[in-house]
Amino acid sequence: MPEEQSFWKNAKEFAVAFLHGSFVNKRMAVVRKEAFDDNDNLMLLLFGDFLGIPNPVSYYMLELLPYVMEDLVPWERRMQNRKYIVAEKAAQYDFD
Amino acid sequence: MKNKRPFVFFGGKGGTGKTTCAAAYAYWKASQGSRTLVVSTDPAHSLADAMGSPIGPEIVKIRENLWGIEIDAERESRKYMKSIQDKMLSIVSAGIVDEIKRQIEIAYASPGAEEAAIFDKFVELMETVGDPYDVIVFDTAPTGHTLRLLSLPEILGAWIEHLIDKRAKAMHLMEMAARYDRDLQEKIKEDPIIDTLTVRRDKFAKARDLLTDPAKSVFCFVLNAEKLPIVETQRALALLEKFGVPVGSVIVNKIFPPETGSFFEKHREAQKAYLTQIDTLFGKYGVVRLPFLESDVQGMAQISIMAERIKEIDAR
Repeated sequence: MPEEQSFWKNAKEFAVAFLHGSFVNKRMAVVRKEAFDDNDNLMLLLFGDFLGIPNPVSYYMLELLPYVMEDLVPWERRMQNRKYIVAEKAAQYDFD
Repeated sequence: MKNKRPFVFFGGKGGTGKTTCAAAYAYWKASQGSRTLVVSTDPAHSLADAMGSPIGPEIVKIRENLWGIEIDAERESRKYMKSIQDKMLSIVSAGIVDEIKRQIEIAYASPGAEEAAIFDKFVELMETVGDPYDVIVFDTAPTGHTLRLLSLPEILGAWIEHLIDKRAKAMHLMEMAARYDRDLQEKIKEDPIIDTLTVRRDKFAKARDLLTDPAKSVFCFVLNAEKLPIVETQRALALLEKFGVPVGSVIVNKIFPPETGSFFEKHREAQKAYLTQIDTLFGKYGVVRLPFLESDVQGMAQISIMAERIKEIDAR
């Protein structure tokens, strides 16, 4: 019975998408944000001297430049434009 | 007795005669048939002047079995930056190259770049021991500079270790986030950042091992029989021991011989008192005494006189 099959198939797909959307995606968005924040912090340790924070190993960090260059420019912009720290922080928690 | 340690460092307060001692020791080693390289790490080089023969930023042969080099920090850091620029041309898009060049220019002027460049060259040279050189003699910069240089691997090693940890943690989170995200999975497949940092950390660890191995390295202090150099040497020795760098002989340079006559009588009296003090303070390291020469050191003639005396430091 193809009709019934397709109904169950649709229902299953919907259920998976629904569960994914309401639980996984949200959680993953948090993890993802955390991961990107962590990387931003790491960038600060690696290239803080570009923002005026002295770094004892800045000379050696140059060898990482080719690998992080694509991220470096947006990172610098993000770091220099942090106007709403509270909002940024609040976004980490589920207030909606 | 023969000193088998391949790395001999000469350090001490400015003006005490580090360069002369390093040159004399290298001269003596070379005359004994060891292939010897003498390296000046002082940004204000005077090795060529002491040897009375031209030495530059590339290794040159001075005489039989003896080679010399004066490390040029600017040149070394240029070389390093050039290698990064070359590497990046194959990795990043052309549009971003200018941006990288700007960052490199900033870093080039940053504090620490010069000493890091000297340190890298210095480690590179240490790796040439055995082939083609048997012994490498380092004429180091005045104490403060050198202590910093020798403590670099310890401090920077720890720093880089921490960076690796941090990156690993971030990557772990990335992996978790990437479970349902194909784009991200592609992005984090391999991590050149951890690889690059690890290579650097291992280099520091290796340098540290060489510097602190009593069978490989020895640090000789040069001082004069005067108050300030004695005090400074005391402090420096304590620091070296803290970093685990093996200390060899203490060399007392420019001691006035009796034939200096009555004019120097008072000086000689003062030096005698300081010499006793030096013996009690540094006797355990072995004290080698070098005379004040009739003329200043300006070439092989004086170096060879010194070489006869300085060989005593190998007796320990």
